Amino acid sequence: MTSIERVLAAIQGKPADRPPVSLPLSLYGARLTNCPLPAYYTDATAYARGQRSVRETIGADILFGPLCLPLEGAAFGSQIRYYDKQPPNLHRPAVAAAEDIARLVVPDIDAHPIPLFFNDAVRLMATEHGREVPIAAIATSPIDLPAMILTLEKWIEMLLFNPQAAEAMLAITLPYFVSRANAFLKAGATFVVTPIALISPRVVTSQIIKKTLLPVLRRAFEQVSGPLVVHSGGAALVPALPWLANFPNVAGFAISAGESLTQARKILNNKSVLIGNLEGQRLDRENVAQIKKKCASTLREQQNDPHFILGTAGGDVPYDTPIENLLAIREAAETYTTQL
Amino acid sequence: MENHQDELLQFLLTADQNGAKNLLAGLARIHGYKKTMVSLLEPVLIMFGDRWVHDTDISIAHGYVAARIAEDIMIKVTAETPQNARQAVAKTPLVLGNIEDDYHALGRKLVGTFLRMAGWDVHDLGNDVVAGEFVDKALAVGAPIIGVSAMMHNTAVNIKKLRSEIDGRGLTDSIKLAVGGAIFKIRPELVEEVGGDATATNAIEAPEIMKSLLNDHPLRGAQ
Repeated sequence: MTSIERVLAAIQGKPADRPPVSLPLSLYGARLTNCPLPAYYTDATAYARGQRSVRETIGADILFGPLCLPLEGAAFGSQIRYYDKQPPNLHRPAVAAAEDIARLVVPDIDAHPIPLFFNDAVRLMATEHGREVPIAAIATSPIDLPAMILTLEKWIEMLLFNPQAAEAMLAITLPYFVSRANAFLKAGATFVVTPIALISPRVVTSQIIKKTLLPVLRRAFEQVSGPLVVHSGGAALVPALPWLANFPNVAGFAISAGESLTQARKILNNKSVLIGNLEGQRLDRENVAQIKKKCASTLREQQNDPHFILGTAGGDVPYDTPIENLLAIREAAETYTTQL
Repeated sequence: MENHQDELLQFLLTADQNGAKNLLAGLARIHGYKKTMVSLLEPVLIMFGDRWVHDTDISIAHGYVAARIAEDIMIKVTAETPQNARQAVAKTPLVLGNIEDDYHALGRKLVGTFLRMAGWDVHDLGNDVVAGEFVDKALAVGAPIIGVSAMMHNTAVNIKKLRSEIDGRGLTDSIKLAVGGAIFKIRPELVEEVGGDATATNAIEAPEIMKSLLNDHPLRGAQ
């Protein structure tokens, strides 16, 4: 089976030769091609070259478009800072106070260099690999993007104490998210992954989630013309699954490390892909034996789940992760299948 | 005052800032702000902190509201305390800041609020503070503890520079290093890796951790 057949089988709940493997190796492509990060996160060709190397070297079943939430904030005017071995991070937000929201310039996704970079990278990857490997484009959710424009602190403060300003912010990010997601799908993305940390009751109150954030998410999702995968964004997602289980266009969920896949599956019933939930952020510190043991344990736990994809939780796989650790995850899926 | 503990806790658990402020203001009119803070808000914040650790429905936003309420009452306590009495209270200085390259201020600000409420003289240096600046400030104000925050792994590793700065200046015994931030919850082993002496699960727990560090302090002894 090709990777796309394997992932499609998981979506449809049909048998496959082995469980698919999903590893967010967005940053890792820069390491494999020895590409300086300022070039990697601005030049779509350099990014696509890195992902070609990811496919050839690691052979995971999904290739990811650029994964860098602060860069999405930079399109609105936030300043970012580059590092040697980490994706760029937020340095200074675009907006300091609620009064500044009205002055925000919404980036034109067909003209602004940052959304163009994201889209061109996905288009190049889809053209080269899309027939055999699913391409996952990444778009920060409309309820999380304000944290990249304002900082998380200011965004929570706005949601708590200035609901009118929060509404104004969401009125900007909702259509922007819809435009980006649809542009990704048009460029050849198989699905759009959207990190949503703000849906977690560990981040904001359930009242705010229900009253303000869920309606925005629903309106956004129903306007997207293809499948979405909800990613935990590193926060607890399982408590939010009862709210999201029947949202339009959602094909799957990627829960956080430490959360229960069994509990998640119980909430989702026998539908929706479930991706998880190895600790991606620890892969640079573990050895092959430890990783294979964890993979085997996760695969055993999910052996009766036809919609399961073995993958890492959290953000990008760390830059210094040894290649053999990543190969061990795919090998664990292959070995586990032959042992059945 | 104890009769109102459940009521105030409910306001905090529903992030109802106005409800909590109105209750505290009403009681302060009878008992004064200081007594209301010590006898009601402080014990309720401890209960809230315990729920924050164990209850999956308590969010960062709830903590933010609790910090706002604490800040508000501290301002009022200060206002009702005579100037000479304020100067007479000896507080232990503590230096706080986000490590070099880290700009995630929320956790640090929450910790600062709850430390001030617990009686610490907090010197908050803000975001993106380099190692030397932390140590210079600690020496200048006589702080036995530096509290440093980082949200992500790429910035948390910069705390190693602060550890080296403290040790390099021969201050290992006189300045303790408390570390905190989301990454330390995900990777607890990082506390030791960056050279931290202690960490707290949440902002409300921070004063207790700092007190323990101070009590274990070889040059200070019990506070």
